Amino acid sequence: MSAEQIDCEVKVKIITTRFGEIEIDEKKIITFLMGIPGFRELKRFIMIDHKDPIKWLQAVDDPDVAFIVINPFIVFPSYSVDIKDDEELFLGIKGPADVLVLTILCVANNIITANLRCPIVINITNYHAAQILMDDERYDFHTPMPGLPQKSTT
Amino acid sequence: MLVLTRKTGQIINIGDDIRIKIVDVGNGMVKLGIEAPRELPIFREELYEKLKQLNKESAKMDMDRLKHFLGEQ
Repeated sequence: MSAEQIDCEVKVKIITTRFGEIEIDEKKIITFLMGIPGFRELKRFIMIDHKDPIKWLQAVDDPDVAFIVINPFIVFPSYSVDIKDDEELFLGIKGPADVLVLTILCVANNIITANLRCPIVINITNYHAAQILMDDERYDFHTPMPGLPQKSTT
Repeated sequence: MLVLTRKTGQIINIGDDIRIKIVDVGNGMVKLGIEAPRELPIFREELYEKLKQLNKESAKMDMDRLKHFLGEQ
């Protein structure tokens, strides 16, 4: 057995409303150091794949709370996120390669919108994350989603 | 609520770590410069309230509704 194999995973069981009881690798838990606005007490989340490119961001400590998220650059190719220096420092981000950006989707009045004003920024090297509120007024809290790109089967 | 009167350029300290400077005043607006520890996020209240409300709505989404929207049913 190699040394890598001894480095065993710690599995954590969590209860969720939408996915039942699931078991996850503790290392994959994303920590929102300040919670998520509106859910300040919820700091631990995990990502669950839905159907590409949609994912769920499920709270570890509240079975009911889950957000639908998407990589915004797939749907909005000209989108850009400005992460301020103090936010980078806070999350321990050292360069663009450390960063995963997600956008929360909302369905209201039968329209899916994306909150491009407040991206979720995850440092994929330490799994620390924050939802940031950008000053950039080009981006709206409710940006209508164009059609999702269909996955090509070819 | 504590109400203080300050002139342009003057500063208010909150504890040792937070400084709020009156940068400019005029036309019914005040421009503030704020220094605070980075673990204290600073938001315009109306935008932060909007974000909290939107997150609460977004977190309610159920699986069937999402599938319906994605044409999975």
